[in-house]
Amino acid sequence: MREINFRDADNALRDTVKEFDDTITYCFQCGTCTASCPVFEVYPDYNPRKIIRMLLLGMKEVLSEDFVWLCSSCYACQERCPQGVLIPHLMRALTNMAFSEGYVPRGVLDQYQKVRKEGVLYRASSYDNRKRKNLGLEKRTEEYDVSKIFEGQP
Amino acid sequence: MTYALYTGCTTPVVAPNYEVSARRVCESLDIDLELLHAPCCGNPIKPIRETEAVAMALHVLGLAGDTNLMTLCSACRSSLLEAREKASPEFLDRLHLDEETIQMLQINHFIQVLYEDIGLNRLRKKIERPLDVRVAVHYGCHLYRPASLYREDPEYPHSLDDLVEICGAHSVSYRRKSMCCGSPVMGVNFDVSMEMTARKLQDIKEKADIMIITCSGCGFMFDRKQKSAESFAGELNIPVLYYSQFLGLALGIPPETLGFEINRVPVKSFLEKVLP
Repeated sequence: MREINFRDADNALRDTVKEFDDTITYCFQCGTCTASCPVFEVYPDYNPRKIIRMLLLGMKEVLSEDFVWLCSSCYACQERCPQGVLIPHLMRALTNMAFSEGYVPRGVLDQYQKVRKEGVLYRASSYDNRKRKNLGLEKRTEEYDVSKIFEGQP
Repeated sequence: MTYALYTGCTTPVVAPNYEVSARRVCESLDIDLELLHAPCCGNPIKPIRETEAVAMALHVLGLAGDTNLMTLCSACRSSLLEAREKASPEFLDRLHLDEETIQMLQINHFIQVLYEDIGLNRLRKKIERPLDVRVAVHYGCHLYRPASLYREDPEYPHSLDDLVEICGAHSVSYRRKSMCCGSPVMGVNFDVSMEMTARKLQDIKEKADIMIITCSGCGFMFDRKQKSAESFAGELNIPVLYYSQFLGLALGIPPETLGFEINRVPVKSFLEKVLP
């Protein structure tokens, strides 16, 4: 077990999280989220109850942890939370903050850059289009200029 | 009944078998589809910048105009519904979108169109080839959670079970029925995602002849990645069908037009069992 030093606590972190989603303050640490979580079941490092506690205690190091990116946004926790904490939304707010601080797993960043650049995550190759043709489906070769969508984005 | 078909970007590439069979089924049920040319729904970029994801989803809604939308992928539908819920009038204004048109739009998943627009009774009457098999249904999270967006019971959904049973099949219960396929965490930790997939398939193995799914993200894991999942679970060999392929067979649509050649796990023994 690790010692938590409250002198290092970052109250601004808690306030920022609350701005994204103030339901976090209703959490009373019952652990129903963790018990319902399919990711926790195979990988106990991802523990939503613990992440919420770390945020409420202002433990800024949570932003640099790899495990915060593991929410599968299946909403099982949210449906069962007795306090109505919007947990997947909260986890998204957390990863958005982590990204702003410069933390992001390679695979997630790759996806982001691909969608920003090409407008799609998967673009049909000529091989894919041959398969589509054999099925009687039209070719999909669209490229989308999505840059306009992001203009004026914060 | 006319819908704009929003395939998203995953289905046309990863699951053309889902797309072709869903389009055949709609054709046979007199549901007119107009293919919507539109970019990604924004779902893959949510973890990095949610506001940008919302903007992408709203852009897609804008492209639909006033034609109601049908999606095949559950994650697409959830992105579109969620974005509409979050969109403030100022945000819509910035994207040059008309609030009223966006709010009026119906955003339905293929399964919901079958269950609510066509209905079990009408569908039941059209079944020509009853399929007497044991089926494990996997709803996929975004077909019914969060409950605030959908009309299903978040703990015990039953639309897909009902839809499978009117085809003459038995929908079995299994331990991890409501659990996620693992696809959203694949880009973060491949082994974790594979182990999630493997555990579900393992639960199904002894209980059902086939698995039925409704989302191309889930299909990527359960069908295309089933071989990789075997390194966590041992031999699996469970045929995975999109519901549209299954219903298509039951409706009497020729099997060679339902895209079975794309299915990665062999479906031959299943087809031999159900076809005359």
